[in-house]
Amino acid sequence: MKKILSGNLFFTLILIALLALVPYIAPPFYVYLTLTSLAYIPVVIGFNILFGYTGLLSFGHGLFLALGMYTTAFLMRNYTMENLEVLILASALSAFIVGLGVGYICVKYTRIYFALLTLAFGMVFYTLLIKFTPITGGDEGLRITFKPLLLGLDFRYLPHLDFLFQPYYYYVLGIVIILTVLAYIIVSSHFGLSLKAIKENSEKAEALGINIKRFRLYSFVISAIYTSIGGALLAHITSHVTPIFSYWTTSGEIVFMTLLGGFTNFFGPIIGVFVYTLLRDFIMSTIIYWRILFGAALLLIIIFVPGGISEGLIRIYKHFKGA
Amino acid sequence: MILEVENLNVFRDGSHILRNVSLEVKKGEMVCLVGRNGAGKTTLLRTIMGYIKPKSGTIKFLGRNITGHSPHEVSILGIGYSPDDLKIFPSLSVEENIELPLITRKYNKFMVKEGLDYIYSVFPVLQSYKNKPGTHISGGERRMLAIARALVTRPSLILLDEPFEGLAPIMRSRLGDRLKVLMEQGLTLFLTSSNLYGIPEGANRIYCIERGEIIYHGNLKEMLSDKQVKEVFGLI
Amino acid sequence: MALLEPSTITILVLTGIFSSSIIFLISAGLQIVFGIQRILNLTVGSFYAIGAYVGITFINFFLKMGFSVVYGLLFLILAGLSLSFLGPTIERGVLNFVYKKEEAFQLLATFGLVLIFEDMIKLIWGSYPQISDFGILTYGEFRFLDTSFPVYYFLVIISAFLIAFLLEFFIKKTRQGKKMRSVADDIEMSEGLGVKVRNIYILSFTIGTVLGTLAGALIIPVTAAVLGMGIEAIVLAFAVVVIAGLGSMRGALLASLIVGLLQAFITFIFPELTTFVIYLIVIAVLLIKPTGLMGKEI
Ligand SMILES: Nc1ncnc2c1ncn2[C@@H]1O[C@H](COP(=O)(O)OP(=O)(O)OP(=O)(O)O)[C@@H](O)[C@H]1O
Ligand SMILES: [Mg+2]
Repeated sequence: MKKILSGNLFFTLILIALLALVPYIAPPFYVYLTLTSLAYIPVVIGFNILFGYTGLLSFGHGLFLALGMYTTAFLMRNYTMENLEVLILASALSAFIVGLGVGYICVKYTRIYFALLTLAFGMVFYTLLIKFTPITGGDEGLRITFKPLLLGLDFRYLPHLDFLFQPYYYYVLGIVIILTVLAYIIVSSHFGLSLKAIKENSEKAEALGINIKRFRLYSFVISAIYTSIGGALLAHITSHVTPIFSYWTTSGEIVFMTLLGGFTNFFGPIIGVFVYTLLRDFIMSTIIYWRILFGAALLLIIIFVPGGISEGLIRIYKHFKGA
Repeated sequence: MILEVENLNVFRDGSHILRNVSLEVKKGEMVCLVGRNGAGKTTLLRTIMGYIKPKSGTIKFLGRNITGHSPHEVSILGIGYSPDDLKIFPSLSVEENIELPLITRKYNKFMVKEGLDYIYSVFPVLQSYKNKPGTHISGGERRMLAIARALVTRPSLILLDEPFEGLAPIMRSRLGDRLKVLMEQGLTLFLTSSNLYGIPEGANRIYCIERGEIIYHGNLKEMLSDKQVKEVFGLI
Repeated sequence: MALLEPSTITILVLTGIFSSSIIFLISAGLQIVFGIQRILNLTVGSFYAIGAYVGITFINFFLKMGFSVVYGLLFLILAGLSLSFLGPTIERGVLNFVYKKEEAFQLLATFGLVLIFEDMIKLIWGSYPQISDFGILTYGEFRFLDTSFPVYYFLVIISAFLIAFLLEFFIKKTRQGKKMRSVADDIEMSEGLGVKVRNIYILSFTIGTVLGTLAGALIIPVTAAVLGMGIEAIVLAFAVVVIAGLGSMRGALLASLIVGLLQAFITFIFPELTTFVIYLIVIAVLLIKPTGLMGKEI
């Protein structure tokens, strides 16, 4: 057991080292994609706390992604708030409030009804974003026109890409590592185990004295906060936030990334994010009909490897080890 | 021979539910399988119907190996089945519930009518409720309806899972009489009971099952003096 | 409100009922598959889009062949029906493999199909909107008070009612319909009484498919076929089935009417708020009665 853990730790450290090297060794375009992937990591981790660990499929998580992005853009434009830490906290806070409200309603339901309800909330938020133009910029969305302060440091003298690829990149990397470790602690804690117990057998869990709805709500709120923070990080990368991030296709993408990497494994969704972001760009730039590929990939994953890439890798590993 | 079960072993979720079960039902017989709650009666019937795939062993129906056949095939081959929880279709009327097995055999209109008439002669009460939704009748009537569905095609073998369960004493004896009449018409019946009272008088042979094993086989009188059986049913 | 003069109201009611008819067909397609297979089949939106594109290709072809435009409606219905082969193909080819999986995966499988169909349409018809040569006024106009409507609207409304009636008849009275109801109630017991569930699955999915393609074909004299129309349709149809109660056909009829009329009126008064209001109703219904207006208890 210890050996496995230390092995995991070893790989994780190598991975982090590699990620830290990316801005130095990779072409700018790939640095950009890696940075985007990093910002999506909290998003899928949040999504999977709800899906993989609590068994609730949200088809409206785009809502919280957009919430984080719009909170950031709104505060920057209207209150010239510059500290990234404050922006992140504000996004987390807005996700806490909205997540509590939406979650309170949604966790009364499970299975398909939960999926439908979250989808509906995502769509309502989407139309709100489009309609309340004075606050949200309507169809056009909001542009972020200046750079945030990182830990109070001013990097505004840097050109945009230099800012993104150096200080901002490492800042995001740091935040993502912290959030990932935190999430790992959460899902391995007593709380995380209770969630799993609820997922596997809610009646039994209730008999064991777990307040199911309350735990589902906690899980929902944590999930919302993670996703929203991902949005806050992403906003500075896109510098432009639009309602599409709350549309159900974006929510579908979040689901897709998670499944692609594998929802049964804690690190699965993270793999999914990188593979998806890199592949999407490659495929979208070379093949016009990328949806056919994604659709087919989704079907193949569901039918043959529901555990996604991580399950596939584990199967291959076991196969060679066994042979 | 209508039904031959040989060395059947069934597992569910890793636990061994049926252990080397062997039994047989001859033409025109009424055979009763008795065993306490959780002994494995329902599991055996469901395995015969093809809902559960056995780990090993064979099931022969009319000399033909039907192990691993799907329930739909088993049904069409000629086994009628009434489950312990009845499973009446709420979206179908009483009459449509009875018709369903006839329809699935592609019987023509006249044969369907004939089948319905036959059922209404056996269970007249069903006729008076024929247009009601299948679940809007009393529990006892629902029991009749479930048996009617198993009976309507006049299959070579009928499996009834605890047909007397939950019936009032009068209904019990009435149903017992009906079954006796049906037996006289040449039916073959394999039914279960979780207690000794649920064994109909007309039963030719009895198997007693305990923890997935057949512990006794013979007639009712001898069974009641069998030590193991007495222990199981707390008669000692 | 000065805006809502009687003539405006009549127009809105009529266009509302017209879109209700189309929405009903699509949501009936969702309902029938949900009722039998317990899968929320997002693909029905794609079938709607394909119906529209194929309808245009069909009718333009026939008109070029010199057929009279009078047969237009017939060709459209033919176009919708001709796509029925998609039903068994998708059901056997894809859904068949996900019946035993978790609900989430079933939903996602149909989402995957939606993505595939989106691009297939792009591949075949390109990105530009497609327009039919079959004008909406082909069958003339109908005057009422001081307004007028295309007769085509009435024809579609009547067709939708006819289809609803046929569907009801099929499910209530025919042998296949009885088998379908038994499978919807209890798959295992149906099998045990001799129902070949596989065939019922194929049948119900094919009916669901054709309802979608028919709706798509029937709408094309009114609007162009555009990319994304399938996704837009599914968003509405989804609202309808939630309001109706999953699986309830009569509920779908009622809810389509509500959604269609709301859509017409809100689009007139507060354009852009339509989806918002409809989804607010969806949420309200889910909160007050999660099984929908006419759904069975969970
Ligand atoms: N799906 C299942 N998974 C695991 N175990 C099962 C399953 N179904 C039944 N069992 C177990 O198999 C055993 C036999 O059950 P079965 O329903 O066949 O008993 P029975 O004799 O019909 O009892 P009863 O009189 O209560 O109907 C029981 O111990 C039960 O817990
Ligand atoms: Mg039983």
